[in-house]
Amino acid sequence: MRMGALVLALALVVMASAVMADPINVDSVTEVNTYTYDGAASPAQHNVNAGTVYELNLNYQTKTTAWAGIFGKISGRYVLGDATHVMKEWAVSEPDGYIAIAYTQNINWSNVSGYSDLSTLYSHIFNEVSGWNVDADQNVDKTFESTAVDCNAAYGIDLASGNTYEARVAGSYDGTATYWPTCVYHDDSNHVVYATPVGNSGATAFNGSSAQYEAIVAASESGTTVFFFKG
Amino acid sequence: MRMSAARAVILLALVVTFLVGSAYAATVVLVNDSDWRSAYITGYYAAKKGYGFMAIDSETSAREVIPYLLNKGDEIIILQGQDPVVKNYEGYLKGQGFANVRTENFRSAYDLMYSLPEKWGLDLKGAVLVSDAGGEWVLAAGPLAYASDSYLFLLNNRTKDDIVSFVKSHGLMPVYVIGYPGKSIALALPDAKIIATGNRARDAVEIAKEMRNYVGYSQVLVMSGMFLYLPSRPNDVPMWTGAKGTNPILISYVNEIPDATMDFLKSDFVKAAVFVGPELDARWNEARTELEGKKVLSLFAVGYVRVPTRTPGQPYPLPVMFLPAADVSINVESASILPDGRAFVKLRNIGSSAGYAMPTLLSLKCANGFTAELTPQDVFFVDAKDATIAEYDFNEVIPVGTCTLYVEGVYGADRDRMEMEFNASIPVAVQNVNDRSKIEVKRIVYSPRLERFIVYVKNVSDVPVYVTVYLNGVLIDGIPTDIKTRQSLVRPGQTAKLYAKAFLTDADILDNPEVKYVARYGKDSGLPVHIESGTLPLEKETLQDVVLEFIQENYILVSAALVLIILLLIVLRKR
Repeated sequence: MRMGALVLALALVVMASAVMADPINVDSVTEVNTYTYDGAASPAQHNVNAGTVYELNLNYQTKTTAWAGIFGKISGRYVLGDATHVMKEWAVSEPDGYIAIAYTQNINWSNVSGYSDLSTLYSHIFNEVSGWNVDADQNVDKTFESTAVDCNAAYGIDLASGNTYEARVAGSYDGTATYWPTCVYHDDSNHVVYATPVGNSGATAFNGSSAQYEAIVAASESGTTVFFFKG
Repeated sequence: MRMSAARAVILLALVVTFLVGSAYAATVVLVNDSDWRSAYITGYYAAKKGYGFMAIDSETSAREVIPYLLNKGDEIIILQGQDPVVKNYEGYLKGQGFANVRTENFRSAYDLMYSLPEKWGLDLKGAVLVSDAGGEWVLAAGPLAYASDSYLFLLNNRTKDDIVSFVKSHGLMPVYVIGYPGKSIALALPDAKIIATGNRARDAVEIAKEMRNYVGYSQVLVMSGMFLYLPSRPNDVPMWTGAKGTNPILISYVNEIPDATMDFLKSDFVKAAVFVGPELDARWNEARTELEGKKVLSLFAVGYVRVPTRTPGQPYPLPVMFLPAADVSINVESASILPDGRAFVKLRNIGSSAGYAMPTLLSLKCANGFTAELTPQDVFFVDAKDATIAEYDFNEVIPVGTCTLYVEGVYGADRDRMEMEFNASIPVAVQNVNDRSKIEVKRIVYSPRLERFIVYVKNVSDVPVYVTVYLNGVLIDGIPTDIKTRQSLVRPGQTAKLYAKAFLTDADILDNPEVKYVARYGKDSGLPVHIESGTLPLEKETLQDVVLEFIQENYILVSAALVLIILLLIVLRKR
């Protein structure tokens, strides 16, 4: 495994044991917000930054509050309800394209571009994620390390033509690759969009479980809302 | 190259360190009312003002989600209606550490249409008057209102006079009237552009075309019109503003994309379409195949990261309030079959909005081997929380015995969109009914005081009778409207008053000198085997009616009062 290039370090902290009680019957989706590494036993892994090193059996821990790994399944039955009405249930089918994740419902999809520099990505995230607090070791350049990626050609994410930045999370989106990509875009109002290909039947998340998507997103410590789009 | 980018990032991070300590405090308006209209109106004007906005959709989200999405330093204004979703939410938030919270009460969403723009000092030029009878209209109207910098008014027969007066006195222009074909508006506002094609999806397309006069958009939203999708964070503008007037909202049904909508989506200038809500998942799939070369996405869920009460990142249903189209829920309650071939199917609407039902298959299978089938196409109006009995005729004699009647059909909020399905298998006993019940409809009165028709029905038979009266084609602001009473039990010899809810102005009463009625009745509640129909003059309730009603309902009290007065007079006279 090549350090910092292929696999983003994600260690499981919160396992979704409450799924049974949740209002929709989808598989567990887990936030991964702790990065763990063993500086003594595994010197090659010392460069611990947000989402760059993945290693188990470690004895040193650091936490990131700037990023969250999320993964799971999105197909299933969604129940819409409010305080006073008979609830309505709808099926969302198995996805087959990509999942886009944004901080606002109001993305202008007709004018989406890739990023050509990380300082712009940083400022966009900072403007959108209230209270986002990131230090140099966890910053965007340590997370979105893969540059010059044409995510349309590589993964069929047709949000924009040309290259953009990509983060690679541990797992396999196609059963063969050793990572799951998160490509990052913005619209003409500087809203950030993360996009990840829907996994095929052999896809696995970082922990080996089957998943339909996996992505890494910036999040604040106090809570962040994201919206899921199918594309 | 990469090194310089990294340096820039680090520099920015240092700047952030200084900024984080002084978080920006915003004003967030939080609506706490069960009526979707309150959220709709407030969300629109909050977006115009630049305030954050959320609405409480349930007790659960009020306690488990919303507090985690608000900033402790924000100024939070709770707008509380007559029927709040959560009681004393201000107290709850303060208990959670929110210091700058206050509650402002309002009487109805209709009051907010006037009070909010005035209180918030909004300088608006035009007016969009939209019928609040259909969610499709209100969703489509929002982006046009925003784009044309307009007041947004919810229009119905009750609100129209005040709205017209406001529009005239403020000299608002342009004026749009959406989904309301009433004649009085056209007369009172001759310069208004009226969009009411008779088809709600087509109305939305006409609105989208009109929006091209204000903004050269390239993206549209597609919604079912069944749900008001609420913001899931306070600083996201409500979807019904169409991303601040830049995205028109088109309508798709759950079971099909209307032709008018699909044709418009194929326009060259439409580069992207977002289907909103899991109920349109299948339609999104269909559209992305059909709309080659365009970006077609589906917004289907919301997720929460580091909200302690929510599984991190899990897709959750978007918060909603129900619009009328989602608030109809019809099922088959019972059925009866007579040996002469007649069938009675009782359809009940457990939803809070009126709707229409169309049974499309009646399949009868009896223990004695008899079978029969009907494929009807008649549409029945079913009022909110009420039932309607649909009558059919198999046109053949059915042997007495036990059978099963399978009924399936479709229903919805409008004759145009019956996209929901129902079916049921009902055990029925085919048997003769000896029904000697008989009624007479004596008077039809409209009471402005009660905002109801009062139909006087006399039971002239010697058995109790269940009666429902239908008033057909009543002109309300020039629009022919079907109205019905609830089924009532009338005792032998009794004259009962049956009520039917409707709002008529004095002009409407003059427009209806006579009213056609159809009374369906029988001694069994599920078997209205008799019909009585005719026409009666429409009377307006008089003071005499009110006094007589009071005396009838309080005759003991009135008698006692009379006795006391007489005694008092006698005493005074003796003195």
